[in-house]
Amino acid sequence: MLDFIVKRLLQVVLVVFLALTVVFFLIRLSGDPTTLFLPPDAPREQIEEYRELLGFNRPLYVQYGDFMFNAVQGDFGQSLRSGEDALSLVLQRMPATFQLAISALFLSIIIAIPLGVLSAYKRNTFFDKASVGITVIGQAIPNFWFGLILIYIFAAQLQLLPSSGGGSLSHLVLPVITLALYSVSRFVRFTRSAMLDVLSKDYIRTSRAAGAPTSRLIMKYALKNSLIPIITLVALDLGVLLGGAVITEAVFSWPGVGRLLHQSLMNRDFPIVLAGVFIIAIIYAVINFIADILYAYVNPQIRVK
Amino acid sequence: MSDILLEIKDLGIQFNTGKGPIQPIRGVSFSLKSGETLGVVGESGSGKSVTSLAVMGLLPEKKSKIVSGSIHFNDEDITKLSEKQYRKLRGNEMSMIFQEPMTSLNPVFTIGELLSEPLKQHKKMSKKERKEAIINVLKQVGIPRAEQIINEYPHQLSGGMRQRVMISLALLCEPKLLICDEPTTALDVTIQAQILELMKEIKAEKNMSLLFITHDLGVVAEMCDRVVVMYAGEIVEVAEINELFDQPLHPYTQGLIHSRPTNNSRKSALYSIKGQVPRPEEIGIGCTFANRCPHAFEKCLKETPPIFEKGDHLSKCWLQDSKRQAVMK
Repeated sequence: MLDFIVKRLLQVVLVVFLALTVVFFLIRLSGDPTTLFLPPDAPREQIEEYRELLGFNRPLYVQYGDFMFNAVQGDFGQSLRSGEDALSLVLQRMPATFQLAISALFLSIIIAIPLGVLSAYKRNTFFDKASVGITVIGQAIPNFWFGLILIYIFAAQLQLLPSSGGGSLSHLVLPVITLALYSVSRFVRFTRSAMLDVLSKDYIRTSRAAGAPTSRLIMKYALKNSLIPIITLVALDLGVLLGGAVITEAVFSWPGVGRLLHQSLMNRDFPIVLAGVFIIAIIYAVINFIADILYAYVNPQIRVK
Repeated sequence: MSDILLEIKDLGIQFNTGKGPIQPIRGVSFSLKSGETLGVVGESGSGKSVTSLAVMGLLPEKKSKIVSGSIHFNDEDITKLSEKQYRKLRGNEMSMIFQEPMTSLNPVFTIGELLSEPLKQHKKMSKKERKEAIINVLKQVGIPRAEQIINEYPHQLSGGMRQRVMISLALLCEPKLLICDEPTTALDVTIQAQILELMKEIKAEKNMSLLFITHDLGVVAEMCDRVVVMYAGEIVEVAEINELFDQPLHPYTQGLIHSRPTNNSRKSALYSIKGQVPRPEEIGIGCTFANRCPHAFEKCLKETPPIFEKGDHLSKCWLQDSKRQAVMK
């Protein structure tokens, strides 16, 4: 087990390093941030002065080396706009993103898994066809559009819920539903097919021959087997959600990481973007790690290896 | 209570396929006495497994139904039982061992968890009693280290061990009827011999009735008291074991016996019955075996033969018709 953890930790370091490197060079392709900070007609000397001040006039590899040297020590520099510490700005936004992501994921799981199981059990009935149909629509609807429709109905027309911002439970409702729609659809379809696959297996027949009632076959003997692929999907979706549901956060002006990164990219506020990438890469790696441990819990064949 | 434990009469089973209904089992009748081992033999696709699944009430619900006949178990027609009533029989009064030990055990539960299922369903036992019962039955089927095995997972066991676990699963509630669907087909020959030996011992000890489904006539000779030969969803011959091997009446049975490899005979190619078992949708009028039968004559193609009785020896073949026999002489 210790061996496994050490190996995974090394992988995390590598993943974070590569992600930072790629993003470091990619965002520099978008241009020099100084041009955004100064009026378009600023004199050349002023621009040069500014570049000197921020260190953008140095060769790229020097900037990169400098950045990495500081990043290793947890220093991602200051926001080019506000001068605040980049990493702490990102970390401040994390709780809001966590709140949104975990709520959306939790809602998706408690709706989708029972629905998927029921769909599989009642396959080819009206219920099953209806649920498959609805989930296809759920996957096809763009997030931002669905969010806007929800705002239109529940905030603008019915005035039941706030349309934007964060801070209270009622602010959470619409963005969570928006995010959950997509995950629910994916989870239902996945659970259904995983369940159908497992229900046709020989070992289910064995348990039936031993006298187990259908409810037990499904909830105990089949569900645990179908959890293996579902865990993968849930982990992937959680990673996406925690990485900041950029569009949904923007639509609802949710004060999360997604919106911060979106704004920072627009402003070429490189330190914040890189600090954000750093945090997100770590979160992804940690989620993967947890998923691996869950696999081992569910599937004993993995445990032995 | 009568001496007969299981009696199947005129059983017909229909499957709904994409192309319409087919009837893979037609007019199957046989009976099994208490303490008897009855072999059911036939090629793949002859309907052996479907018949046994019907006895267990394990046919796929939506796709298949019993369209005729009855299955009496302990003098009760079990085709009329509700799912809930059936559940009380399964794993309790009747059990089944399946062909594939590798895939028939749920990979994510321990042997102990899997084996406790029938006890939970059918017996009122404390956790401790269950554990003892499970360890006992594992020892009975010759599993070493039973105390440890109950905490292990199926993939940690070899094929032979898994089949022993399957057998112990079937035996836990001491059923009156044990259906074995090719229990040794997937195993090595040496393991096969061990498992057959084990089953014989257990059967003698518990006085169970065995319905032994196989395509291996060697296994039949080893295990069975009487044999039912199935072909294309029908029974073509029923006989006591020695009688069947000494004097097979149906040309299909003769072909089966003929196609067994014998010792030291490398002189000629192995005999085989030409052609294939017809698919259910291909079956028309006349004898189902007529197109592969070396002795077929006109009548075979036109009329379905009835069952001819010769004492306890039944066969469904026009050759046994007294008129035909007169002509032959």
